[in-house]
Amino acid sequence: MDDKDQNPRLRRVQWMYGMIFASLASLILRLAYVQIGQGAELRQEAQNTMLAKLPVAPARGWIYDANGQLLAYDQPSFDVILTRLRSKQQDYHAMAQLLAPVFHMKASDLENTMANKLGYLTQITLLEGATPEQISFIEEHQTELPGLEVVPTPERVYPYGDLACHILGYLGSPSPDDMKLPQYQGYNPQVQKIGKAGVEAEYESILQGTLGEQVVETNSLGVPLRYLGYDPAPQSGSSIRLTVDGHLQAMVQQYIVDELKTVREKYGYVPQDVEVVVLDVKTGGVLAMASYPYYDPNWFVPTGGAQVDQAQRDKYMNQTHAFYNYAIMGKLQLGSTVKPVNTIAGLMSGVITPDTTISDPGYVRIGNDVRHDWQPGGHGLVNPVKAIQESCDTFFYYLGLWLGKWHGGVPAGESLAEWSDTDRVKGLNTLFYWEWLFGLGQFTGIDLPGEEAGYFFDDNIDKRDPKKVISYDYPLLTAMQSMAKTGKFNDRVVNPTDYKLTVLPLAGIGQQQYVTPIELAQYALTLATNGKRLQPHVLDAILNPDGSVKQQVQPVVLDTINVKPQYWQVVKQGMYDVCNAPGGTAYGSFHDAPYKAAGKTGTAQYLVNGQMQNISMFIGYAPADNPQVAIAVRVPGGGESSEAAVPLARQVLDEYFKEHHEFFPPNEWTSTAIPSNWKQMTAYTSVEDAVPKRQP
Amino acid sequence: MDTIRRMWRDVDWLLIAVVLVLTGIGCIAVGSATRSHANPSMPTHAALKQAVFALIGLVVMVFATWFDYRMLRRVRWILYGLSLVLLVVVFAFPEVNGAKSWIQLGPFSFQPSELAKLTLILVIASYMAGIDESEVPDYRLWRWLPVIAMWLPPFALTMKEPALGQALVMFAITCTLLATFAKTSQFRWMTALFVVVVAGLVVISVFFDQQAVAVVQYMVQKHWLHDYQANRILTWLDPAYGPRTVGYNVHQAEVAIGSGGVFGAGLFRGTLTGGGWVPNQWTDYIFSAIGEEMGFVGSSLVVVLYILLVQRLVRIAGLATDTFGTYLVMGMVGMFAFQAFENIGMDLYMSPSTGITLPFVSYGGTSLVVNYLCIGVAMSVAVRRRKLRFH
Repeated sequence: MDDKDQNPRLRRVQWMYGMIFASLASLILRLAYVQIGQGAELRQEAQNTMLAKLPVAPARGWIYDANGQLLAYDQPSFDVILTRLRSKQQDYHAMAQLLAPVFHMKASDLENTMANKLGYLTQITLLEGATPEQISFIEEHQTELPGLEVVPTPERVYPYGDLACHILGYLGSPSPDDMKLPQYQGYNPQVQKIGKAGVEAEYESILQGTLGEQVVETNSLGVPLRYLGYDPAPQSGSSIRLTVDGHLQAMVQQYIVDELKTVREKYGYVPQDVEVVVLDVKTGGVLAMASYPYYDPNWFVPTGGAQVDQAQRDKYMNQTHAFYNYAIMGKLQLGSTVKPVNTIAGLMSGVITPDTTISDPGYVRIGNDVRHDWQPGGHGLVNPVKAIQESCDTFFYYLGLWLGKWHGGVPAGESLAEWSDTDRVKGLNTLFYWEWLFGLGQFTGIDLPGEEAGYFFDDNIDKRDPKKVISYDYPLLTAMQSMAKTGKFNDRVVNPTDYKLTVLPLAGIGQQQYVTPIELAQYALTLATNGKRLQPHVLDAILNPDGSVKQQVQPVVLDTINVKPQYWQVVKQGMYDVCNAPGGTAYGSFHDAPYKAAGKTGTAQYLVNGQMQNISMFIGYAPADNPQVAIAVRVPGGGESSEAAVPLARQVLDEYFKEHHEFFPPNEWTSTAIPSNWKQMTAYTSVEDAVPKRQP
Repeated sequence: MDTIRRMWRDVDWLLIAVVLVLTGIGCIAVGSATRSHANPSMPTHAALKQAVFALIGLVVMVFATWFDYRMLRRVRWILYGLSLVLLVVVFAFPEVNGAKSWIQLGPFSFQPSELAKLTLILVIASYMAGIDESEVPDYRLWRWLPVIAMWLPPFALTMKEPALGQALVMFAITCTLLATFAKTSQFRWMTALFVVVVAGLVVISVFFDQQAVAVVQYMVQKHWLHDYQANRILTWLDPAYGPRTVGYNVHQAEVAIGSGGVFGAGLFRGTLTGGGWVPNQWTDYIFSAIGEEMGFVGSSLVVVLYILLVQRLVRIAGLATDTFGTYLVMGMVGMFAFQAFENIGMDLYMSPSTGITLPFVSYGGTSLVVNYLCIGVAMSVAVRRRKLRFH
């Protein structure tokens, strides 16, 4: 063998072999490092991959009424959950075909739900609130339904249906938009529900608790093998007690339904909605708050909702606007119920005295305009007490005009334009400011979501077209600041315009103010307490798991209004006479009450579907000498105050005293229990009948 | 008969043993990696199918051994042309896993790039042998240009599929052949360049990984790199980069391999392999199954087998009767060595991840049969080797 015979490339390929050998040998070194050096650590990580964490919803706190009766609680319900296994054995198509008729769903929808969520070990809720039939079907067909489980899930129950529905609210799954909000950080929308209205929403953070995670060991196919406990354990939410008196609330809701029947049969009125608010004068706690039409919060719970036709439910909700809590959201003119506070405004600013007496011809002439009293021919000689008792409009027209220094015309040496921007504004400011102090035209601060604040408004007249009236919100604060600084205020929105001369007198009788029923109730309470304005609230206490009080809600005094005692005397005498003196506007309903109430009626007009309708209103408190409760009743479309609101208020106050065993003979006493026949009462049945249950 | 006896004697039995052991390990690993059926794309009866393909491969190998490899030179352009046509035809077929790499004909599917690697070796080897055989061999640098011209079309078409891994194999093959072909002076600077590049990559990935990450991200910003390309480089540079997303495959593979420890979890007993937790663990990531279930002992044995495979092929190349045979076999050496290194290395964060099969081990008929064909061709070179004795 010589060199010539040798392959000329032999040395070269040997060199190259050396390089390849080194490269591949480096793999062995690296393998040694990873498998021997890091082996234990990586084996630990491999084991961890076999553990899955499944979210577990915390138990939601329960809601009690003031007397410990359960208004909302959780009960076990059964959800059907599909765990996507890492296995070919799950044939979604076949499973969907099998389940669709039992679940009353379309097979294609069901299959989409199963197949369209990504990732293994994901849990998909196929059905909420499974019936016993559905549960037994799944158990019988378990072998054909791999990964399908029936799991107990807490579900909200509102045992009294529509009772206190607007206070309680209801639950729902958080929407993608909800999940962006800071208060829902850390929520799992798959397993957790959130309060969508009422106290369920207001006290979501107290009721909800915190999400837990169940640690699950799975086999290599991803099938859960063993539950290893919680990490962390879910923290139950706290239960709460409301100030709401379940008995009174039930009766209020029933009386509303009864009253609607009465006015329909007697006068042919069909009111759109009715609001009643009863406040505890000592604390500001809401004893009852009803807004008709009602709804049943169970309709929004899967099991409850599954029992009713969802299309029917949605139709009902949309047509009746039952989701709307008019008691805190519905703003309308307050009419003559404003007169007590306007009397105080007049007295405190000195334009009237307790002895001021006018002779009422039944109308007032203001410039070219004539405003009439509700009583043709007028009330004769009228002092402040009688003005409230008989709700004399003329007196308050004058009161309004006098506050603006209008005595049959503008003050001497002042032009109409000057007057409009100075004395007229001063008059409006005085009236509105006193009303504002009593809680009208502002938020009451009630602890329910969605409260709207009332407002005041002013009117302009277009000079080129005197019939054209432009109304706009009156900026009270700005007007007062401007008056203090420059002595005048001009808020004409278009030029050339004039102020409507009648704004001041109309403000005097409550036509320039829009308020909500909760504002009216707070106003009544503030009159009852001689100026201590309390914040209305529905939460009484947060409870410990054993039922003891964890945190008691203390009354919040928003303002203490200083009014001379003799002026209180005048106003309260007037309000007492409304109910208890012949000629009082509520005397007809209250003269035979075993207790003495004080109040004020109101009737305003509003436009419904192109027709002017009366808003029937009453505010008041009882007993007159030592008030316990304040009340506001409003029946838009209910006719005169005496036709709907006053009789309704009488019934509600009667019920309160019967329940508290006062004034009425023992045979008429009732207990604080929610009536045992509540579910036979029309306030309950009419709502349930409106959205009928599905035939099983 | 004399020819057959001589062939029988000259067959490299050790090489065949190495290949068979690798195939056997592969069948076991594939069976284990597909046993969970956790993923709809996992094949059923994969180990059996793999064994059947191995048998077909063995038959192909025997025929190739019988066949005189020198005859291939005559038909090289036809074969090369055919493989280019197939690389074009492949674009008419639907995507599989995001790449148009497969020709589907009924139940059969075929990967043209596997064949193209072989025909690339063939044409380059023939060209280089031609120069060696000329009266006055000319090894000047411009002689490399035709080699590059032969490499570019299949490389570009494969990149377009896109099958980066296969394209890189073609690059590795071409480099290996050029290194074999080059003059000593040229080989010296090639070696120097290789050492510098490898050392550079090691230094960058170990000491300057953060700077390198910044550079890659800048390149993405400038649209010089696609996101998915950048992600592969980034996960290699920084193992903590997206272990749940873009780095998931590699991370899971490393965890599986590492959890095997010294002796492994035992055949069919690996948790990650059994649960199908490593994506593509029966094809590109098959080594994770070996690492987890056979441990350091089994996985380093596999690496040793590849070293032996390379050693046997290098020996054949060195003893070939003509330089055509040398180049032919060295091309295969480049192919096998690069695929083995890249495939195992990417599981261990030693190289960026690409889609490359582990020769003789990964599940896949085309790849297995073509690999056996290579061994057959190498064997054809071996049995026609230089007579060292009795001359």
